[in-house]
Amino acid sequence: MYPFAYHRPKTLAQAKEMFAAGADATFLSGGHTLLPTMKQRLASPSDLIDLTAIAELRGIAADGKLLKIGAAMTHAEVSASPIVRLAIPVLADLAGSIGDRHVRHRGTIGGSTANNDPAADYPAAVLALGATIITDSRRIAADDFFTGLYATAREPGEIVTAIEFPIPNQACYAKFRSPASRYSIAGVFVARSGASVRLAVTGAGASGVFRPAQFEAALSADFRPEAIAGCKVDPDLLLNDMNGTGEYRAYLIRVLAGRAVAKPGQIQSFK
Amino acid sequence: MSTIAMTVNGMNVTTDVEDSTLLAEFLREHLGLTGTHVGCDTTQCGCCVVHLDGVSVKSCTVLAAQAAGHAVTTIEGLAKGAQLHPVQRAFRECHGLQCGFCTPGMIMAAAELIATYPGKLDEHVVREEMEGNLCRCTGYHNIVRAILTAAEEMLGSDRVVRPAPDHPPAHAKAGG
Amino acid sequence: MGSQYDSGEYEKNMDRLLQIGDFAGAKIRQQQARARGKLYGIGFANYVESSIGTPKERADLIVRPAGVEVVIGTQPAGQGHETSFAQVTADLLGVAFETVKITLGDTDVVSAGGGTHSGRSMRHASAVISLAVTDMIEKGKAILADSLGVKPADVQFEGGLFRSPATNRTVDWFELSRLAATHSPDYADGMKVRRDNEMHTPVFPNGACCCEIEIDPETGGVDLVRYATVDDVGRCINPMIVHGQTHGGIAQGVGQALWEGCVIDPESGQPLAAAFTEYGMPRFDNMPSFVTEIAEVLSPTNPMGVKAGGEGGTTPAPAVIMSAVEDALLEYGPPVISMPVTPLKIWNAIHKGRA
Repeated sequence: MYPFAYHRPKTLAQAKEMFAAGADATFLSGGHTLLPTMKQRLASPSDLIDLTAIAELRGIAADGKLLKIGAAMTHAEVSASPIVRLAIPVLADLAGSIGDRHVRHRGTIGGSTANNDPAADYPAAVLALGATIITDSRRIAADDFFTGLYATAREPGEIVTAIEFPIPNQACYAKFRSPASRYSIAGVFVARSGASVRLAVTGAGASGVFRPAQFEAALSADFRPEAIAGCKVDPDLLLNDMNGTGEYRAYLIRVLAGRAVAKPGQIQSFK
Repeated sequence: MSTIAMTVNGMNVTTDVEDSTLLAEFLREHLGLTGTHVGCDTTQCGCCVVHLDGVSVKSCTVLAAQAAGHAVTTIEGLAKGAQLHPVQRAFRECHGLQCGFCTPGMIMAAAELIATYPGKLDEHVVREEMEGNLCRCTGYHNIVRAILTAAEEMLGSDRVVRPAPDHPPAHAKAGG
Repeated sequence: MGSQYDSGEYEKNMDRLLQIGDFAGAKIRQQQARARGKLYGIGFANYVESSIGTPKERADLIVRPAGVEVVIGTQPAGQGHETSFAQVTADLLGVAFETVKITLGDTDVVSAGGGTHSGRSMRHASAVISLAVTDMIEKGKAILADSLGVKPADVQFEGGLFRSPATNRTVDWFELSRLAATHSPDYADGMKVRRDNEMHTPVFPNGACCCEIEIDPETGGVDLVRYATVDDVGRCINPMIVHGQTHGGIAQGVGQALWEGCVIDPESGQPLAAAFTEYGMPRFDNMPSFVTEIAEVLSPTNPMGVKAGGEGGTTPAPAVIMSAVEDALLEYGPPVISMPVTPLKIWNAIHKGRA
């Protein structure tokens, strides 16, 4: 890695000061995307601002309607949380399916959401559940937050402090992992509240996580796997790489959506 | 350059390091604790696994500075003097190592898994939870046996499900 | 024309494999998988491989009052030569295993050797060690005879003990070493023998292997659910070590068939799988536990009848996996699929008729 200065602020205000004072500062959370990137010298911030000691970024709470998870909560903590388990069980399972055990002890929901890796699991859940990304200065709806490949609406210096999830009636997640990278070649998160169904796809979109409207309409009318039999995603809008062609991914999306809906409340991780 | 302080294997350590020093490098180069190995340096292989406040982490993907103020345990810190940790003993008895390069990370991962996993440990769980540790020598077969053997000793047989001795178990898949 | 196989009970291996791999049950498991909407492939392969390796090896055998040392020129990386060669030495000398130390890898001490490759180590090491032991026994008889004033022919060696019936004297190796040191300054640092050996005849480890894989036809996902082998390694000195070698070899071969792809971008030459982030590996969660059995059909080519155990796990593995893939996809061709068999290739074979 190129040299940098490490800072560990205790408050949001401190964090923002340190960010402003740095020539080219970056926030650090779990570090399991940023540090590998820096080790390859693909990023070289002048300053790393470690957010994980800031109390406002910690904690998990639910009130029956909303589940709020602090941005610095690790995947392991979310997975093991009885509050998350009660409110949105498949979200706990999703967190428990990210990476491997050691990665889950460090990676955070804030880091994953702010990074918007096109194959990460959390963006699918955040988008499908219609969550709100809470920052130090505003609240951003998920629909407005994910803007493209590795791109979000977050301004430089803006800190994600928590993700707030409306608690759905039902949620489910099905993903198919690359045997090599273990990231999703396609992953489909489905959330139903009343008659309204939201569905988000990760791992497959050429511009990152997305919601296929045709699928949502079909499932809103009829929440059964059969309802999406005729639904399609345009392969040209999907990733084409050594893990899969657009055509393959389009097929996977339909299969995974059907399997997810067939087992509401559950995660299914295929490999 | 910063001054950092942490405990490593129960001992207080205070020293100056470049902020960009990785924990793996700190342990190996600064403290001479070369039991922690750097295998892939890309967060995949798990040879570098240590415990940070009792949970397993890949020390090649943690800054020494991030560990400041916390407690690190390395492979050197598992045994009590001449008395091996049950996981170390089980790896030896079950032939869970050959070249030994992945072994420190394997043992640290297994020790943490056994100490913290809330449910029953069976072959399927061990194989899923150890996904983050690679081995090229053993094909994993004996490492699984070693982990279940150590788990049985540490947790008792009602927390561990051993496979039938002569039959490979059905390879249950999550969501399959 | 061709090589002469040293020995092997090939059909017997195969019959035994069908038993321990429950081949008879495979068809039932195949039907059950199909009932669950899965494709299911049963793979089978026999193998013979040749093990030759660098033909020369040297052993320095030293018996001291405190114990036995063997200096040998192989170079293990986890194959346990320190253990298995000590077993051979202890067995041939008639001493306790714990009294034998194997020295290797330090070129200040090891004057010559062949290294480790091609499954050569146990065969060459056990051969040269057994020759060194033979020389050492003769030396021991001569030393005892000399010190007792009898003829070497009147000294017997059996069960680790030298016996002179005429004088009713019996000594073990360590007592003899002490005696030798008092008898002559030549033996101040133990009784030493250096022996070189050269063998050019190849040996042919062989065996049989079966596996079962389950394929999800909708995703192309492959699950290796069962794997069994019978391996004829010749004389098996340490079964635990040999099984470990087989396990690791299986993973190497399965990895090549299913996951390990060195992908290069044809336009730019850029490696696309340059780290384990993209290079698929055998891991805990994609490998099953194995059923492995060792067959010992002694080789007539060397004193201990050893063949080799280091490669047999790998040799049939790509073939047995591809055999299972072909079986699973029979109704779709069978397709021509290249290794590694990725989910994408399987999916293409099923849904597009080409891989």
